[in-house]
Amino acid sequence: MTQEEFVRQIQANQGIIQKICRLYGQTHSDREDLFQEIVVQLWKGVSKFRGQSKFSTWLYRVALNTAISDFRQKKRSLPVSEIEVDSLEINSNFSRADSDIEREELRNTLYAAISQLPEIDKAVVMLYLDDKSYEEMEDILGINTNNLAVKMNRIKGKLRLLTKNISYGAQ
Amino acid sequence: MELSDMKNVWSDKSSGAIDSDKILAMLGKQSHNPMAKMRRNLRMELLIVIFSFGAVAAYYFLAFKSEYRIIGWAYALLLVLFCYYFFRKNKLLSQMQCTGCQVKSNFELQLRTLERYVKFYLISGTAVIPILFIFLGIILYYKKPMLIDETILYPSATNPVWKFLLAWTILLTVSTTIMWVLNRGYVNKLYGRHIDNLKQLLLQMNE
Repeated sequence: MTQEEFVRQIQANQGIIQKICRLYGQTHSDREDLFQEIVVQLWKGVSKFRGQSKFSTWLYRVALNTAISDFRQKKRSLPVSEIEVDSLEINSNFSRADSDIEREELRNTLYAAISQLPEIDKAVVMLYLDDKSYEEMEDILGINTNNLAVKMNRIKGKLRLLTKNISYGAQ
Repeated sequence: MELSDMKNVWSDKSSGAIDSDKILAMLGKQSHNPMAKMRRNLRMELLIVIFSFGAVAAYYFLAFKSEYRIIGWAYALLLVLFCYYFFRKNKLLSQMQCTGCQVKSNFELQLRTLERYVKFYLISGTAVIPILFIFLGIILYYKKPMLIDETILYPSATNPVWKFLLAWTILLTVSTTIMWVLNRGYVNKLYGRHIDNLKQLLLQMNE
């Protein structure tokens, strides 16, 4: 894959990387560093990508492996109130297409709730919200589908509790 | 918030494309991954050891009319041992991560390799002490023979073999044990938390 093709792939899948950075980086600076590290790891590994799975599946794997490893290194016990919930803006070239402030607030609340989950649960819920099937989730995470279903049920309960006072479209 | 609402909120976001120049600039940056840092540090250590040990070995080969050539050989041998040590560590570090693999198998690989790495670190870090003592003993035996009659560490007319063996056994056992305890504490400090975290992540995945 040439540099130009790689850049196009990153641009096409940047949403995945941004979501992962937002979930695993606690501060704006963490997220910027993590974004760069994921791109570096993807570039280093792209020569080994044989196309046996979808590019996005491979990208999820590299990004999650990097994010969870990075998170473990930088783990700091920031209280939830101090976790930044702003949208990921790597630089001024990121434009915010969604100008709906209420929706942005809801999104921030959802991210804040997911941020309180353990690292693996965050990955599971992110893939679930990205509409991945259990088979695809197994392909990315390596957790078998039965285990994922049980885990997802537990996470749904936790998320309902964390967002119980928030209603979508009623604010 | 209901789950269907969460999906709506989640999928709402659409970011503008990142400038391709910014991505291209990122490609030239060094990785800040801990494994990459460890490999860079290791390469630096290797260069320092090659130059310092090489210089000392060359000095003993050439100086003192080559009378202390054996010490030069000793340093050359130590350099070979260190090189093996560095290459083995580098190999383990390069095997430690597979970012394109499934997350669970990557963490299992990391844990397995890191445990081997720590074991190698502990064994080699401890073994260096008896090796150095024996080395020093041999060099002094050949280069300072007047010591033979003065110390319990060499067999002589006044020092029977059993005393000499006992002295060395005590010296090596005590020094190796102290080194092993110190090394174990150091290795635990360096990698203990990392290993525990990996175990914790795998436990989360298997729950």
